[in-house]
Amino acid sequence: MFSVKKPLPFHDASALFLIWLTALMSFIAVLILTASLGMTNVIGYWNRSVSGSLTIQVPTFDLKGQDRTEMAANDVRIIETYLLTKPAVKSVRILTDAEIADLVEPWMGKMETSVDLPMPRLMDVQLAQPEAFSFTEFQTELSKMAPFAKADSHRIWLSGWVDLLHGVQKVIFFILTLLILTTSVTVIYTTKSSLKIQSHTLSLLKMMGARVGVIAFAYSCRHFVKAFFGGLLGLIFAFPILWVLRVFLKPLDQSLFETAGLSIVQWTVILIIPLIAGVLAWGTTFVTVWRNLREKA
Amino acid sequence: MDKLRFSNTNLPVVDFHRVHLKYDDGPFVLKNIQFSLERGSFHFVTGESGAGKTSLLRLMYLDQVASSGRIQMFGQDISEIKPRHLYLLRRRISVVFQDYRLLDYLDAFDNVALPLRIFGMKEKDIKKRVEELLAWVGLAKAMKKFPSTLSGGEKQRIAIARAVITQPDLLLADEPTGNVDDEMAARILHLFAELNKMGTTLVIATHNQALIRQINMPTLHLSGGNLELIPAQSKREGFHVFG
Repeated sequence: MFSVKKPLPFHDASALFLIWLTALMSFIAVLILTASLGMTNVIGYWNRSVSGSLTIQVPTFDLKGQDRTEMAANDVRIIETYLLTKPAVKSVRILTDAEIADLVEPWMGKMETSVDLPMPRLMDVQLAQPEAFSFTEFQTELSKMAPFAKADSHRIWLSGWVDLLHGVQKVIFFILTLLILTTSVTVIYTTKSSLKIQSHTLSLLKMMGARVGVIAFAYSCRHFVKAFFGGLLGLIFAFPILWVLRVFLKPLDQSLFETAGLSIVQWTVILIIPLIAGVLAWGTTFVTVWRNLREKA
Repeated sequence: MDKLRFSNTNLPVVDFHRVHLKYDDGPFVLKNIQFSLERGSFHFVTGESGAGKTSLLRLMYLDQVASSGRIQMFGQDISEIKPRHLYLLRRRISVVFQDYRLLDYLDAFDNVALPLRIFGMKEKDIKKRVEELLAWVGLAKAMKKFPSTLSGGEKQRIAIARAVITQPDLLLADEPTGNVDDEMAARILHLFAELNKMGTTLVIATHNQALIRQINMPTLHLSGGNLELIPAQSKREGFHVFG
């Protein structure tokens, strides 16, 4: 078997092409995979913490400005009782005046809870099984229990965003598949053209008694090294771009930005892209060389 | 590998039976070739250009399949050997080409070491063996030189060193002295004679009549695709021609 130190004596310019090809492919793969994993995190966060809840507002003043604080308190109790009978509901919490004041603080500033403002009663409902909870049915029931109350399901307004992100992820998956296919096909043609260039060497090796598997192995190891190196270059080129994107995205929404941050496992997936490129080149080259030489054995 | 080894060392190294060869739809290059070469024999192959010398050698080093007839190498009918096992036979055969076929991007040492690396020998053993052999062919100081910087004679000796380093059972040489002067031709012939004494079966295709006279071994003469035996004047051991 040929050692790494003394590999098969193949020598042609196609190796350089392979390095730059895998560098470009890895560069694109790192960027879009990072984006895709970030989106996965955002979608996961939304699914976990936002879509599994809904907010109910019960106004304390009606449309004519009449105070119905007592009625609202009664409506809240009726709604709470109704909700707690539903298996899909995990908990119902009625927000205190202080909590409501905190919520409106960004728009209205610091205020005393005693200030006479028509603040609605707010109920935070956590769902154990969001899929099992029919929001439409609940809205119908709510209009009967408390005609002035309004329910706001985060899942509904988030579903549009989630669908969008899922769509983008599908596009990314498609691009990644294309990248893998393009890389594989290019490696196949690079290898075939290299085999033609190396036909003189290959026929010599064959006459000396080299086994097809050994030639294919040595050839693919050579391509593994080139593709791995190319993948590393792609990774190195991609990191400054990711850093620039980080700088630009950070001020937009701090919480969203933090949610999209990648975990150690996800970073590991990004960091092994050069290895994946190498393995892809290794496998593709091995099969191409093996099949090609087998026919001429 | 064992099943392709000699089961009987008395079997001919090469045995051609009614072998014909033609390329595609062209005329027959070799017609009804019949001969066998005993182990340790030494033969020349002669003939005009285009007589089929190289084709005959290609059949022997398994680079070409005969159009018809039976070829046995080391007692094995090669048509019965699976393609994936042919490498085992090829490892017992070495070839010296007229155009050397050295790899330009390898130095003399690595060119000679190539067959041993294919065989999977350890680098330490390869180094010892290659250095000894290069010294034997008088190129100890040219080990790190690349073929482009070597003379024709030096390249030829590198090619011979590469062919003999595996101690093959059969050595085929196509015009090994075609590009060297008479003195170098004599030295190369001496190398071949030494190898033959060690048991290697030799087949040398050449135009060089002086070379043939110098050694006085049987000759396979090809003319118009037909093979004719010209026996050695005083020594006919190890050679049989049928039909």
